[in-house]
Amino acid sequence: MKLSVGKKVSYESGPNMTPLVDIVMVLLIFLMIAGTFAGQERYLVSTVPLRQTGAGGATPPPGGFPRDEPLEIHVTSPVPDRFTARVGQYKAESAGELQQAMRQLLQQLVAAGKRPEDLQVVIAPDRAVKYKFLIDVYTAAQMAGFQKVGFSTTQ
Amino acid sequence: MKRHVLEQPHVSHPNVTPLIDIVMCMVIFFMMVAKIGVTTGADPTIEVPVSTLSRALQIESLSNTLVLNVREKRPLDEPLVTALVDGASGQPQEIRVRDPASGKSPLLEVLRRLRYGRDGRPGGTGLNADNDDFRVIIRGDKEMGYRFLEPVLVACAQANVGKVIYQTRARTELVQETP
Repeated sequence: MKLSVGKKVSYESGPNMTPLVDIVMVLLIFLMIAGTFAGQERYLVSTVPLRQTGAGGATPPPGGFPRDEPLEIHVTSPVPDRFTARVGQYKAESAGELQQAMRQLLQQLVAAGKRPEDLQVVIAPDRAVKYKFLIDVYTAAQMAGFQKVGFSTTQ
Repeated sequence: MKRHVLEQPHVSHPNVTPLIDIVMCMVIFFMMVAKIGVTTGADPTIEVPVSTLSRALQIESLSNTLVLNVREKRPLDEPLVTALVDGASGQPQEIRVRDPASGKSPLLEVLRRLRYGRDGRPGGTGLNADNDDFRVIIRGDKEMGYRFLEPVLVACAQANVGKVIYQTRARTELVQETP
């Protein structure tokens, strides 16, 4: 009786890819696990030289002190989890209110002949104000359209 | 004459060529995008504030940049500033804003050295050359008061650091509530 033998498997048609696939897969998994990606960070650049108030002998920063008197936002924190910002005749107790006030102020200044790119905003916080509120104030000023925002110190 | 018939290739195993193509593309992508073994000295335990500013700067390269981690130093009423100044150690070290023993400011000295070269003074060449593009990234704890940040800003101003950058997080990120 003739035995039927299965067809011989042929591997001679190309190189054996199995080791390559193994190594590449290991590399892929390593890179996916070990790698860290940027994307969630946001960086706020201080575009105004730091102003020192109350220090008569302060050294001028690079580029000198700004010519025009900047707009000051006074920030206080009457209770630890809230802040109050005063700028001009406006008073705001949240980032949204401040942004609205700053936008109105910008419109008034532009109507008075000022150019937005020349206007400078200096945040003058109380020493107890939390850093997260300062970032809120900073963000509100920039979102209102002011391009030059910075901090002042009293030391 | 005996006739040879060529066997059809790949009849017994799947064609892995498309798989290799895709995986190779992914490997190259991850190699180019992922940052492996790059440390900036950023303290991951510091919870930075959230910002909604959509046009905030995204920094591609952190060269020529010093990351200052700033938080409250408890129970003392002074800032705790750490930074990766000595790259060989690989770990951020504390830099005091003011040393009570000597009265000097180690932070100011570090900033001046990075800004103006080894001599810490304007002018000079070689190792003493000025570094006008030097910038500082402040990675501050969102719950600290401004009194802890202020001396750091003053040191930056005294060292004539041209660009001070505040690191925040995008609002879209999931924010964990602190207990």
